[in-house]
Amino acid sequence: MKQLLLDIQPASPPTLENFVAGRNSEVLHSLQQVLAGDSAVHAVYLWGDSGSGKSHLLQACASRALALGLHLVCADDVHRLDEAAQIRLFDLYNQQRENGGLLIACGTAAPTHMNLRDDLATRLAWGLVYQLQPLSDAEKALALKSHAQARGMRLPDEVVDYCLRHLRRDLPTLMATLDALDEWSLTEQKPVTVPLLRKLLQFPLNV
Amino acid sequence: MENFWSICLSRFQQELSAQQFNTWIKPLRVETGEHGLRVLAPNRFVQQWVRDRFLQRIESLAEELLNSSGRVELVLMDQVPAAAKEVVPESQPANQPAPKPTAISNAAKSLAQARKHAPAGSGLNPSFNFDNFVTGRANQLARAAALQVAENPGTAYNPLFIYGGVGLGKTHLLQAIGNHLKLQRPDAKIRYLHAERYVSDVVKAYENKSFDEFKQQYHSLDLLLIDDIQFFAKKNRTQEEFFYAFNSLIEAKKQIIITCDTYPKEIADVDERLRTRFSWGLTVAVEPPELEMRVAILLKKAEAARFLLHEDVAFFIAKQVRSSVRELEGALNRIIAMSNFTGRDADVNLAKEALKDLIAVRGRQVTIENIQKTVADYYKIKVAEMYSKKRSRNFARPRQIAMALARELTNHSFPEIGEAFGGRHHTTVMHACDEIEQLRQNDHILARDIAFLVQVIRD
Repeated sequence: MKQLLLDIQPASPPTLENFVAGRNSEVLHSLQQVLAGDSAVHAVYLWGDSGSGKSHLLQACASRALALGLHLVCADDVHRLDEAAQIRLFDLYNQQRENGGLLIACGTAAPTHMNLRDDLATRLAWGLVYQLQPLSDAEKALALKSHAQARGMRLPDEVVDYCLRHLRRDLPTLMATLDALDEWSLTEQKPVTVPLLRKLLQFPLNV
Repeated sequence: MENFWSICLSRFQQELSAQQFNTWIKPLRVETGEHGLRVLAPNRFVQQWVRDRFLQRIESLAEELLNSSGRVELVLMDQVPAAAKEVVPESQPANQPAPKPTAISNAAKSLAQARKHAPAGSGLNPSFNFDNFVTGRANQLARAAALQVAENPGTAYNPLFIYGGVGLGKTHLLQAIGNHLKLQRPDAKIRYLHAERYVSDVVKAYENKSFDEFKQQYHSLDLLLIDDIQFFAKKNRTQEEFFYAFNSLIEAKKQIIITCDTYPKEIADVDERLRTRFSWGLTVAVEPPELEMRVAILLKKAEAARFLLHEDVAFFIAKQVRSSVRELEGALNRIIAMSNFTGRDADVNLAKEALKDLIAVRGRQVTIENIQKTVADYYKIKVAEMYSKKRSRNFARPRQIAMALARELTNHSFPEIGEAFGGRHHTTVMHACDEIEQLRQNDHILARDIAFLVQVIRD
C-alpha cells in the first residue's frame, strides 16, 4: 500500500539569499542596492529565457519589499500584456516614478523587442536592464544541492550527475524532478539513489 | 595670487552652470608651486574631471592674467575635507566588489528630499528644469518656445503644442515650464498631469457625480501642463470635458501646454474640434537627438549622478544607442552599476561588456534544428547528413560539432540530442561532446570555426 504523505516540507520560498546567481551576481547586487535605497535607479527590468530565474527574483524582491514596507510594483511576463494591460503598467510606471516608488518587471526579451507600446518599452529600458544569463551545469548542480538542503533531503552527487545527463536542464524541470524524487523516496521509504530516480522517471512527470 | 584666482572663479561662474561651478571649480584651491601655478583638487575624482575639461581653460587664464607661460600643475590636496568625501566615490581596490554607499545613494536621497518639498498636487518634479535640459539642433526650437511661454504665460503662444517620439524630453520641457513659473510666481496655480490621469479623473468625477468640483479644479488653473494627449483617443466623455476646460482656460488667458506623439492633425480618434484647437497656438516638434547631443546628454546625466564618464565612453554609448534618451540613460545606468559592482574604471572595455546584451538584443531562442542547419551550411553538407548513418569523417565531424553545440547552447538532455540526430544513443552524443572539447583545446582552426558558429547561431 502506498504511504500517504503529510506535506511537512513546503518548497522553500524564493529569496534573494537562496538565488544561485552564477554569472548574474551583478543583477543580484543591483537589486539589493535598489531595494535598500542605495541607488538612484527606480526601475529594473530583467529578461531571459523561461527558467532563467526571473520569477524567482521577482518574488524574492516582492517579499523583501513587503518586509521593508517599500512601495514596489512587480510585473511578470510583460511580453504577454495586451493593449489595456500595457496602458495600466505605463500608468503604474509613471505613478511610481512620480512618487519615488520602485518598479521591477520581467519578460522574455529586451524592452524594445516585444512589440510593446513604444512609450512603455522605452520606460522599461530607462532604469537598469539586465539579461539573465543561464547557469552552467556546475552552477545548476549547486542550485540542486542547495534546494535539496533547504528541503532537508540527502542528495548524492551521482543523482545530480544523472539529472544533468538525462533530463532537460532548465531549472524548473530539474527542481520539479527533485521535489518529486523527495516525495517518492518518502512514500517508498527508500533512500534517494539513481535507481530510484530511474524508476520515478518511468512515470510521467507533471512538469 | 588670490586676486588671480578670484578673477578665475568669476570667469568660470559666467561660463558654467551653477551646478557645474559648485561641483568642480569651487572646491579647488591654488598656490604658487615650484614651476608656477599649482591647483589643488580635493580628490582624484575632481582632479580627473578638471584635467579633462577645465585645465586648459585655467592655463589660458593664467597666461592671460599672470603672463605666465608655464604649465599649471594639478595635484591632490593632502587632506580630503570631510564634506567632499561624503559625495565622492572612493576608489576601491579591484576584485573587491563591496557595495559602495556613495554617490548614487546621495543623489537618490537628495532627489527624495526634492520630491518632499514639491508642492502637493501640482504634479511638478523640481528635478526637471531648463538648466539641465540638454539642447541641440533637434530640440532648440521647442526649448525656445517653452522658455518664452514660461516667461509670458497666457500671452505668447496658447496653447503650446509639443510633439515628437517617445523618450525625447517632452515631459522634461513641460516640467521645466511649470518649475520656471513656480519660481517666478509662487502663488500661481499649476497642474502637471499625464493625459491618462485626466481620463481617470473624469471617470471618478462621473462615478462620484462630482463634476462641479472637477470643473472648479481644472478651470481655475493658471497653467495646465498635460502630457501625452494621444491617450484621449476614443475617450469621448474625457474629450468633451477637456473641450470645456480648454475653452475656459484659453478665454481667461491661462496657459495650456500639451504634448503628443504626433502633430495635431494626425492624432487618431480625437474629435475634430479639439484637434483644430490644439493648433491654435504654436506647434513645435522635438526630433531625436544627433550624436553630439546624445554625448552631451550622457555627460550631463553622469555629472548629475557624480559619475566620472570619460568622453570616449560617452561617444561609444551614444553611437550604440540612438533611438530615445531613456534608452541612453538606461545604458549609462548599466555602466555605472557595473563599475560600482566590479570597482573597475568605466572605460570603453567595461562599457562594451556592460552593454553587450543591450546591443545584441535579438536573443533568439536556439534550437537543435537551427544548429544542425547552420553547421551543415558552414561545412557545405546536406542537413540530412546530420541524421544519416554515414560515418565518413566529412559527415561525422560536422555532426559531432553540431551535437556539442546542441549540448552547449540548449537545455536538451543527451538522450534528446541523440534522438534529434537520427535516433543515436545518448552515449554517442556524450562521446562527441568529449571529443570536440578536446579538439577545441588543440586545434586552433576548429576552435575558431566553432566560435564563429556559436556567434552565427546566437544571432
